[in-house]
Amino acid sequence: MKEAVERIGVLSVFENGEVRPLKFKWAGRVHTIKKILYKWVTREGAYPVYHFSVLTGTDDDYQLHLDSLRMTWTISGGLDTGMTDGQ
Amino acid sequence: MKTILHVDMDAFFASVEVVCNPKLKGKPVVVCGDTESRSVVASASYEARRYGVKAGMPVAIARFQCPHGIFIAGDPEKYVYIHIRLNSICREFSPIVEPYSIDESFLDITEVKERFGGAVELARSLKARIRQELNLSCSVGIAPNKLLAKTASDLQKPDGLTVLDLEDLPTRFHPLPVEKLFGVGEKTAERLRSLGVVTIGDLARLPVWTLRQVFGVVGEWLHSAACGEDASPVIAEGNEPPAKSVGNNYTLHTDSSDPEVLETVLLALCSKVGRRLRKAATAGRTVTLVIRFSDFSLVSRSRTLDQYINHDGEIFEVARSILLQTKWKSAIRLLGVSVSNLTSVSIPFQPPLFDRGRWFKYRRLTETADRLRDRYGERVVVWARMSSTHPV
Repeated sequence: MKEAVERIGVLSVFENGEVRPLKFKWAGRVHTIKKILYKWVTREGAYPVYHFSVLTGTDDDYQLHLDSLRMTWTISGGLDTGMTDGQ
Repeated sequence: MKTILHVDMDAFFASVEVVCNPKLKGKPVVVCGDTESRSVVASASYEARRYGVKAGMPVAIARFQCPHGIFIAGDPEKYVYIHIRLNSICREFSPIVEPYSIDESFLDITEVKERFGGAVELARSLKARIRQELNLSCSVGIAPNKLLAKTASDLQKPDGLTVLDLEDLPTRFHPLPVEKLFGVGEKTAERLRSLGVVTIGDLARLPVWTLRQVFGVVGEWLHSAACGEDASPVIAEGNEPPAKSVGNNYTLHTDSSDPEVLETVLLALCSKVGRRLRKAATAGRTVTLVIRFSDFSLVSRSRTLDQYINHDGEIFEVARSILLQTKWKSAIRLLGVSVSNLTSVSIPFQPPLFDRGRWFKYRRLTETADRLRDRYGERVVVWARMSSTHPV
């Protein structure tokens, strides 16, 4: 399983009971989210954790995770890691 | 006559990873438990399957067969979430939905199909909803029973829709190789081939008494299955028969004979089993320990107790004593613990005659830990021994 590795700041919109990340700051840069590729929800005890697979303006893929208990965002290794694995 | 629909997600885990990362599209993607360890392939994209990679194959062999494959460690929680959503979409079409595995479900559409303009139209709408909601493709089989519906969904993959009627049996079912019969594994297929049975049709033509002689009761089932007969109902979620046992197993990262390492893994397994038993409000009397050695030989030992148990420490005590009494041929590769002979825990446990204070204290401690886990997640409280090593 991919581990959440780093805490980040995310600009997001809470609307109609849903959350949508717009931009995030990571590695000294602000990344604009061009597209949410996939989203899913898991639970940490009674609290949902929201996961987003996103595509940024520079066509890079990342996974963002919102822990609703701690109200923190984390980023896990760019999905490209998987690609390097097999090459 | 019933109308049963079987929905089977195409290369499920691999397809989910491709949807999450479109750069993987068209590439040989292999999802496994752990890309580096000795785990097995959980799912392979159709591109990887062209290299002979298939589910259940050891990762090392898959890497050899498909050196340019993209190996990804699976994310079970993500797949479980999509599985739950898949079944909730299925329930929009029929109230009788049986999740058969993480990526396939049966729907009994006998009573509802006409509302959608027939079974095929219902299937088309279901496939469209799944694609729209989950961005994933699936293959669907429609037939008068579960056995034929499952066979049908496999006839046209990926993204297929196949109807298999009873009158199609001689032309589309009987010519299939016997290992394509749902429920026939590799070993049974091998034994059948030794009897000259190559196709499902060959099996249907074999006298029942011959099959009974070779396979016992299973022989009768084999015959009726080969004739396309299956009376098993679609069992909606929540109506399943209660589980007969609860168990977990774990393949060690490296084979070990170190009692310290093995007992830590055993404690982690017993904690998982205990927690699952308590969550299901059940307890069991029989503890079984399964050991796979480095030479792949397997030993299974059970012990039945006088009283029912469901607490981590109680299960661990029994499993540990079985482990200590088992002769080790070589280093251990896999450990498994299960508890069977289950009962509901509506009847209060009988405290022991002696050392009752410790017993009650331990029960209160477990209840408190369970409440914390319910609220903050499974990892919030673990046995100290498990906190740094071997997170099973």
